[in-house]
Amino acid sequence: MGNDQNGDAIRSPWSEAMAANTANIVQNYLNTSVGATLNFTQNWKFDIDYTFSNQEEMWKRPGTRYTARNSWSGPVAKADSNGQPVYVDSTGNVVSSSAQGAMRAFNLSLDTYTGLGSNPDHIFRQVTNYYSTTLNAFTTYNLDLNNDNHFKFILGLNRVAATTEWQSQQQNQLTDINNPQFNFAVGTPPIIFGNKFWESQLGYFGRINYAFANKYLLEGNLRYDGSSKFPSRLWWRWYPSVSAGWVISQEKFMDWSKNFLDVFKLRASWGSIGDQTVPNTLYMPLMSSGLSGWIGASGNKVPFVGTPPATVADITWQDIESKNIGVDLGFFNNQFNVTFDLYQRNTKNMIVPMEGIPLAFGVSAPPGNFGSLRTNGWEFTLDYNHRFESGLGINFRGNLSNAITTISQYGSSSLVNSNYNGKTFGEIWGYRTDRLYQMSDFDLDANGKLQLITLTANEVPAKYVGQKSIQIKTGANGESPVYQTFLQNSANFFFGPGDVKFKNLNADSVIDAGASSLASHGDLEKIGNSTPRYEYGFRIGADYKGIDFSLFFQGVGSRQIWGDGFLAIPGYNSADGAMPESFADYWRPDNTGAFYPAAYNNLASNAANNMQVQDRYLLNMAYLRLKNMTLGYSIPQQALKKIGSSSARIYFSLENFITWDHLRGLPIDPEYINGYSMFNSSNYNLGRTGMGIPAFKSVSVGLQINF
Amino acid sequence: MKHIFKIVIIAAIFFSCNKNLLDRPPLTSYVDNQTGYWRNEDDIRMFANGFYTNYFVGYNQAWGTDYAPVTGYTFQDDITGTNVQSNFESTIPSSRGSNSESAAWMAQYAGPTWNFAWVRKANLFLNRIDSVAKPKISDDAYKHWMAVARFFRGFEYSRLVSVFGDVPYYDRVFKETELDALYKDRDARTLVMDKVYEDFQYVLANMRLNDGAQYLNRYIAAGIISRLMLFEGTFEYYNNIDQTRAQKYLQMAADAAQLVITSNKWNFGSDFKSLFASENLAGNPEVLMYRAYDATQQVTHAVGSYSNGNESQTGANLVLIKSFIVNDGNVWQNSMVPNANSFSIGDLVKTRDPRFEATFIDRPIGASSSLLYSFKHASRDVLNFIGITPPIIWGSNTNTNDAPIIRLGEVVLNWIEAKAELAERFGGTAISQGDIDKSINAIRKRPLDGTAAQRAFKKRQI
Repeated sequence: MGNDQNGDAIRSPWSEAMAANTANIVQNYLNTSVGATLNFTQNWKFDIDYTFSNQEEMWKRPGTRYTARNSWSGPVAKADSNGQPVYVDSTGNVVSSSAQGAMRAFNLSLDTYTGLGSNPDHIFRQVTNYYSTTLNAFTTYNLDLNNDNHFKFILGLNRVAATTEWQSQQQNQLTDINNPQFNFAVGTPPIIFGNKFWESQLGYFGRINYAFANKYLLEGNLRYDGSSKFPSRLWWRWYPSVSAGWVISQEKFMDWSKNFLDVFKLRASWGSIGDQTVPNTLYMPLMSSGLSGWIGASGNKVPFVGTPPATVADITWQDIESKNIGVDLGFFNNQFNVTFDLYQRNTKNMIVPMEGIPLAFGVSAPPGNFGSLRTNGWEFTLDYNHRFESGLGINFRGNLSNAITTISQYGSSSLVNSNYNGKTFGEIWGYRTDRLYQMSDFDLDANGKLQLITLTANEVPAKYVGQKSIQIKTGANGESPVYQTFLQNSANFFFGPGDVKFKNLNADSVIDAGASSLASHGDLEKIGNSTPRYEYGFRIGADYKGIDFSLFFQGVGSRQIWGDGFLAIPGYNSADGAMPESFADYWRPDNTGAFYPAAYNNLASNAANNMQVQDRYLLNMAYLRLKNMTLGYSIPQQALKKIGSSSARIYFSLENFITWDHLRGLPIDPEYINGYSMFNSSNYNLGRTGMGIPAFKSVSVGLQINF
Repeated sequence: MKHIFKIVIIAAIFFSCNKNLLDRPPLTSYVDNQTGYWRNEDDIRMFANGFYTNYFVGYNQAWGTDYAPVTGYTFQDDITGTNVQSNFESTIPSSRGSNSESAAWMAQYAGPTWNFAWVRKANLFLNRIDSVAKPKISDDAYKHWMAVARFFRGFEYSRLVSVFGDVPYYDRVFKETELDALYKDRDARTLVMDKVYEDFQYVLANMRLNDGAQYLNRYIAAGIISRLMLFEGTFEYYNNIDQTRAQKYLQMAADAAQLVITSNKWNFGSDFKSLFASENLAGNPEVLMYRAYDATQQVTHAVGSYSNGNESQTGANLVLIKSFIVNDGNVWQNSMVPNANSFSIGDLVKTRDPRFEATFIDRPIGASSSLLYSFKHASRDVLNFIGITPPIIWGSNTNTNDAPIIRLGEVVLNWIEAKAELAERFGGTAISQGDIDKSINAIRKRPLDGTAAQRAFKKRQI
């Protein structure tokens, strides 16, 4: 994989992963908890617990300089040991220069292509400390008026205070790339950063539970929450919630079902809570600081402090209001259980940028509580356990859920690729692909050549007049040709044989995006959604006489993404060199039924020319994966007594072994999220699809012994 | 009653230790409020430092060439490219706007785009000095820093007016809810420039004469004010906008320049080449302020590279060549110097004022669109590297020659031009030979650098 004919690695993510020194993150956790329960009376108790937590994370990134056959630079003509040019035929066999079809042989040049001191030629280490103290205290009072009327009262508080502190050091230019150490890095000056944050939340709550005869359940909550993230007069907010349950199976009129139905419960709730997961600086006019590009009389850069941004003075909590109804069912002595929940979650006062601020304001629009989101979803779980008299036990547990989030209020934009009001989160707008053009679609000249014409008002609307296109034949029934000049993004790209023919959804005379707005989106349409839908998982297990076996599957029913980078987009950038083997099925005069279009270099664009966002090349990220398969054997108790062990089990397990996907053999992990890696949660590898570290396949054999 | 003690304990736990829990302001950022910043003069100076690289751009930084002489100003009549020249912009400002603080411009405007970030910054600076810092600093410091802030506000409005004419004038920071201010109409150019005039009057009366080397002071401000006011005065006169104002602005240009000249702190002791191509302008007797570049500080530029004889260049055209006087002080048509009417580059270098020789390579260079190649911003050393890789100080974006920000040469020319306009158009005092000797002739009498002197220029006749 990835080696050239000399056996040297070709520059690629694979070669770099192979040559890289191992980066690592070490996390240490220390938690100290103290707790107590005081029973004042039989019905009145007081619970308190206090936790001090110290997390420490050390992230070390020893870099290197990469050396490989460099596919990003021009190849070098090959010569033999006597310095004579080497010739090959079309299959790569060395032939004499006079042979039929002989051509010069080339090598990719073997370069150390990482510049001295440029990324990743460095050693980097970052240490983060996270301290938090949590105090939970609440007092509970149970009141039973009689056998049927039960009350419970709770009053309590939660208090969290946390501090994060980190610093990092990086020194460029390693003198020893095999043993990267700070002492062996000579780049000056060392690059040092650090920061410290703190935040706190305090909440008081009260709760009343009421149960009547275990049939009717009611609960009411009231919270009073404060957060350090807002200006002092907006620290505190009230949040109420209520829920009710009805255990129908307890009713007299359900007695007929007692022999198979154990639980039948209906639930409903409404509640509002505060979301304060925003930076704690939104309301504060912070001033950045640093060193200016102005060198003062001392010969050093002068320090500067920047302009504070505009802030909305009354910024406050985002509110999450949720509604839920559910049902719980249990059958056959609770061997078979089903639950179903339907919910709606409204995020109100969502913090989004203010609209309508002209440039004369002199600074970007401040964010405030101007937006809202709505999520509708449902969850379903089912489990079944049974043990046969023979001793064979079987179990099944599965879940399925789905949620759709809609932007209910953001601003006034109606552009399809902006956050317009009513947009479904994750939706992808693109073209519908008809097919690939063939030679027979075009009007040829007397010599059988394609003709490049300048379009006139007879063919296209005024705004495209004067653009060039290859002349298309009039349809069999006299239909006028539909030109796609709008989609020709490169100066020398013209839609011709082997290129993508898009569907003319709005039945005009061109393929275009209109105004890219809801009112006028030309031939664009919603073609998919990048949010995972119908997420499911199920576990099947069985055990018999100490032998246990289980399978755990996980999958996503629907998810599409428009890829980025050379693993997803054919012709993404020819300078990137290697590309997936699946792309070999591209259109050529001898392969007119190809899946991919004719080859063209899109110069690092993932939405240009043939590869406009469209349904044909949209990646279908739905998958089913066997996450885990385990076979185990528990050694009988008698055999263990001799070694003083209470239990022992040997097992064999496979992780991520089988995946069913729809990616046509592209080397992309369907669980992968663009820009995500083990160490980064955004922009990893410029967000190129499939370039992170995929889920590993692993095999393990183990022995668990308890004494 | 027996539970009271328990209730007190619970209440104590619930309500103790929580008093200041939620008061957690950011720990590692300055906060723009009564206590978080503006505590002393150092704070004020650090904020003022944030203006420098946008107003004293010099040769810009790294690959940037906006506001850098010649390399940045390619949209002008004195140079001619081989490609179609870009169109003059007449687009509405909203499509050519920005609210980011960077020394970025639009070449076609030779000035900023529709960007009010610097106006806001200057207004915010003024407000904070006045409303927060004032009690914490001396009266002298207060006046000085108010003058600094008003200088930058006036500078920014001069630039905006030079590009757009009428612009909305703001003398304060306003809130996102103040619709009247947000959607204000443009104010007349004359109103805006009167406000600028008031700012500059304050600057010329109150700024410190010396605030430490390489920091803005009254002389530096006056030099730049003479430039801005000369532009506005002549613009308003020749476009027949307002004659009274034109006179007022020209008078300020002359007065500001006079302040610099009569201080006698600067003189023409430097040769022309050294002004633009030397590694260190500290102590150069002609330079009031310069931008220093230093590779070890990672502050370097690319303007020297665009002058290195290899890098392609939009070249000087015939109009510019003809505007150079011959070394006898006459225009070429009137000169008696032999070969003064020859336009071969070799002859031009010998016959023209020595500034020509210091500016242009003495032979045709193909990298220039007009074959006449300006190496004004590179030292003579680059002539040894034409066609081969130059040393790093003249290649890539690693150049470190210092850039003059304002020098006496420009100030005296602003002065003499403003005086001449006042004399001719508004009945001011006539220009005397003494005035000419102090300005135009003083510049021509500059010493020659060693190489130029070796080329045996004729003793200039004045």
